[in-house]
Amino acid sequence: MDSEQRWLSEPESKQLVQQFGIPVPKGQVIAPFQESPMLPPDLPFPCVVKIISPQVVHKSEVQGVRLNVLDTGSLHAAMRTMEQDAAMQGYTIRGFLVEEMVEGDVEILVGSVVDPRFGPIITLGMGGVYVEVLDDVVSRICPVSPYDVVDMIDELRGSPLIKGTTRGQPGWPLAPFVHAVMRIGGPHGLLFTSGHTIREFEINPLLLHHGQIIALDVRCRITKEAPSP
Amino acid sequence: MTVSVRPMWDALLKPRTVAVLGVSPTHETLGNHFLRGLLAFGYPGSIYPIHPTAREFEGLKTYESVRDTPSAVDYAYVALPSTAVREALNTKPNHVHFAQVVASGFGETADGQALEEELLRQARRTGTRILGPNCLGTYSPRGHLTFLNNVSSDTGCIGIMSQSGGLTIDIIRQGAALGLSFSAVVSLGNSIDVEPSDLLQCYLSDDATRVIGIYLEDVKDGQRFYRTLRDARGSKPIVLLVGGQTRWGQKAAQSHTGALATSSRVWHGLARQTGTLLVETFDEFLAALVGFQYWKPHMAKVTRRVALVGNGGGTSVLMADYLARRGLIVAPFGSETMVSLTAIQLPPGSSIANPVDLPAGTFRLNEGRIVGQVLKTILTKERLDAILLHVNAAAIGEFTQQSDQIIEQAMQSASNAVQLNDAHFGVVYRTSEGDRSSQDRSVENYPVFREMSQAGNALFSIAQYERFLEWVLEFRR
Repeated sequence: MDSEQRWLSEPESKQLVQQFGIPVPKGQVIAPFQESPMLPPDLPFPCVVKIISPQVVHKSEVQGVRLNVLDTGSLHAAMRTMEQDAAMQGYTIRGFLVEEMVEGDVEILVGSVVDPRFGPIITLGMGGVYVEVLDDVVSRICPVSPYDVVDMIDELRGSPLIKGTTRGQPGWPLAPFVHAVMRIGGPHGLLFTSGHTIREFEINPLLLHHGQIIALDVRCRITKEAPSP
Repeated sequence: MTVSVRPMWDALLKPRTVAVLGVSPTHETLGNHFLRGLLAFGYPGSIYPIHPTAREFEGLKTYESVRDTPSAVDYAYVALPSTAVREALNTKPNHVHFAQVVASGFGETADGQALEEELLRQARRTGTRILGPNCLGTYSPRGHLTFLNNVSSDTGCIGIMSQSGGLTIDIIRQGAALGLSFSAVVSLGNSIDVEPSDLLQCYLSDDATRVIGIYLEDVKDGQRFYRTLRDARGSKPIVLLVGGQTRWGQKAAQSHTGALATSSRVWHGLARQTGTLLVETFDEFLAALVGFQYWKPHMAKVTRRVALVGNGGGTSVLMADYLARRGLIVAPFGSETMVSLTAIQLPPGSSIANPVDLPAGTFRLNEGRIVGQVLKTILTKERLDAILLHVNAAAIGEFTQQSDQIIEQAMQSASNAVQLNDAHFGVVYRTSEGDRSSQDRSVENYPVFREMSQAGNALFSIAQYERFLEWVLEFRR
């Protein structure tokens, strides 16, 4: 019943993963430029600015993301351009998410869809937004155990990048990443205990930096009615 | 549900009473064929042929309907048109325990959906468990139950369920030619009532069944299937072949994940999570079952080091490559081994590194017993996880009189040589004319494969299973 499902906005999705202990970049939601050209005083420059629109699932496909915005002038300019694009292409902008720029080593997709036979499936993929190009992907049936997650990482061709063991490096702790996956697809994970009936879920990319994780973008599609008990 | 001390599945695997619906005294029917096959197989219980008018059939008293049988029916074979099935099975509660419905034309067709729902509703009321529809039957040697002629009456250790009827015949026939012996083979068809998860639980708890083989095309209760496999924690090897994987797509998914979580990735994930051996082809399916029937999985080590011995250097080299791609190593022997092998003084043309090449001229030495001598020498020096003897019978026949006897002795001596070693031992017997399936191989305690790749796949499967067992032990899951 697609009509009864909706995508949470990015701030809503990020709030959700934060509740499950997965860090997200510091940021705040600001009103559309047309409504309120005054910017709050404490924005984190350099910053990332992203549109918030109920009609747009993949923001980068409509140029709805600007990276490395250095000051208020550039931010204003970016917001105006994005609002003009939206007006021309016919989607509404409810506001903007302004976040600190975060850099890291490796981008990973962590996603879930509901299989009609097996229920929630969790998927890890190397490369974040380039995940389809790299095609280095593993899936498991949920709920997963920590052993399943370790096995998933081992199965990825890119596992040395996740572990930090490329070129003879000693590696870094894997625990933060394993725990993050468990908080999504484990028995008490977000897919099962968020209070929503989650149909589709995706952190893409999840950024790894020396073993620490941060969710740069989160999408979540839920069924509107209350979950069945 | 029946309240009884008798396990529920006994009524299927060791039925005391069998009713046959769809016999005809005037023309040949599937029901007639089934009933005669049952008699020929020596079924010892009561058979109730069901026919509205006939008084007897094949010397057995017939009954007007299955409602009229003097005792409850453990197993009903229902070879009636789909439209007649429901009424024919409309009995008082617990009168028919299992009904195997052969006909197609139920849920897989638009018209049949209502028939299927009505049949299922009635079955819940009468307590009858439906097998099928759209299936062939059940083969249970311990119960002298069969739907095929000329099958073995020995109870083996392989439990099979298949959602394709035709494939059950291939499994039984081609499996028997490879030495497979079955605890039961159940054709599940559309699985509207008894589902793969049910039969999986049956086989997991069945003492006769040591190895489980599953052919699936659809599993409605995938989550339960997964949990059943997971809870089993690799207690029995389970070989799984899934048809139609490419057909299932993620519909209406808009995320990247939706496109990436393909059906084959999900099945692969299930296999990794549960230790199930997921194979891709029918040949791999049979090969894996053969391996598990003959070989005892190593508990504390994972099969890795393989020795290849036989005639046919090129075949062995190709095989070494094939194994290497599956993580199995045909490593050169150590220097001590080489010294001992050199001392045997094999004729020129032989090669004593691993793979060991014994051309036809070498192979026939000591009436073939040279093979056992070579293996014995290797095993005193090397720690091996598996040994494959490759016999190219055609090549030996070209150069040798009485090649059959020589080959027989070679295999026997090899089997003796490896007897006290825990390495998995198998023979690959290749021949250009006919095959050895006609010979009785049941006396042999090692598998005889027809192709190198079969042996390689069997070793690969057992290695995967051993790795899972190691994992289970390590983490005490």
